[in-house]
Amino acid sequence: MGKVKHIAKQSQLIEAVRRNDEQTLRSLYTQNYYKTEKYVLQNSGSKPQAKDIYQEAFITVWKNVKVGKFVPKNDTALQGYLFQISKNKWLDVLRSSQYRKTRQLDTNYLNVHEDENAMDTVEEKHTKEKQQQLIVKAFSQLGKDCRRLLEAFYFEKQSMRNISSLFEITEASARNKKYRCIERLRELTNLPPS
Amino acid sequence: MKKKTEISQETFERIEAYLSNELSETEALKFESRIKSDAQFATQVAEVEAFLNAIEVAALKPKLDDYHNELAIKTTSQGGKNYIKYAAAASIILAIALVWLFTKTNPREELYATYYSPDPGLPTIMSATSQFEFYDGMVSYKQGNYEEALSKWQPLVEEKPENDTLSYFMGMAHMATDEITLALPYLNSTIEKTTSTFYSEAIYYKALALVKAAKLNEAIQLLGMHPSDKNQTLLNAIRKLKDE
Repeated sequence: MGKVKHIAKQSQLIEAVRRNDEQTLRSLYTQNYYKTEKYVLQNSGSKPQAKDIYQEAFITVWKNVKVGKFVPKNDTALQGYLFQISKNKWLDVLRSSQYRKTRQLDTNYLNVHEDENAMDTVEEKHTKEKQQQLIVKAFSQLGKDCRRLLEAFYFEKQSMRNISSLFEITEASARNKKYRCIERLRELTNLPPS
Repeated sequence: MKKKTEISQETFERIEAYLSNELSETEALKFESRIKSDAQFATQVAEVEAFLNAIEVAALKPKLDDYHNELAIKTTSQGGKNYIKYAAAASIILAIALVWLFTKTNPREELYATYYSPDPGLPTIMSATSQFEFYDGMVSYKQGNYEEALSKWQPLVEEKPENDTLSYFMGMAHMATDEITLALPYLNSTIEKTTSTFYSEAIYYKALALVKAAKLNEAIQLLGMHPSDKNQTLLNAIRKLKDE
């Protein structure tokens, strides 16, 4: 028994993840969650922790698919990859300082690493992560129109033509609006250095 | 993030075009040599890239929470309103499936559609705590949430690959989602255990799956080896199809 391999299907799936196809992301998320939840619950975690870890892993997987770091091989389905990343992330939590003091863990560390940016140093990775968090936070402070426009263009990959008709403006003003929204976002993240 | 240099709309759009591979090869090369020679420009490119990536993440994050909430709704499935929402979604899927079936007008598909109906599932006994996860998946299965059932059963399969009840319903759920190639290994595994309660059912569904997979001879052979009224009806239909 076991997993039936379907490379062609996997590449379709990956293509759909790349273009943020909502149906695909939704089913990828919902179909694989319980496996991670089960793992976390069996390894001294809670449901909210399982959710956090899974969402973190999901974003990592999604990013790696986008930059082409995940290539489906015979034996590595995307779903399996998602679970491995979740597992590794949870093991990292367990291995972190708070846990290490109190528990002795089985360190059956898996050799799938998220490899988000192999070339970056740990510090660079940390800074990048912080920068991203800042932008994500700032995004939620943007006006509704800006959020909608940026989402439609960058996430839904809609054409400027579509977006301009959505906002009932010309394409040129839509482009300008997009630029101004980005500028606004940059202002919002331009906080005094902490 | 203390930078915040001016980036004009023109520069921004140029960088954006580069990042989304919209520049021609020569333009891209020129762009890249500028990154190498102009440190300020390089910073700007890196900043724009960081922003564009983060915007996508920002758009995705609330969606993940939505997906997660759907998960909770689906498992408890008490909210009448939500139930309607899913029923509506299910009927849309069904409608699409039907349109697909009929536009295809493939005789094999027609035969399959005529003879296939999903196994109704097992009565769910909530007191059987040791098998809670299995029955939890069965609740999803019976509600027609086959994907969810599969996701709940998957970990169990890994623990007990030899369990014939489990493999039978894994097969059923895959068939219900029209994943014939995924269903077959599970049905085979059920059939391996000739004493299985689901043995004859598994034979019947396997034959149907083979029809769908265009393996008519294999289906005929299989049914021929396991005579029963139900199998005979199907066998006749397949033979007729083959003659046509």
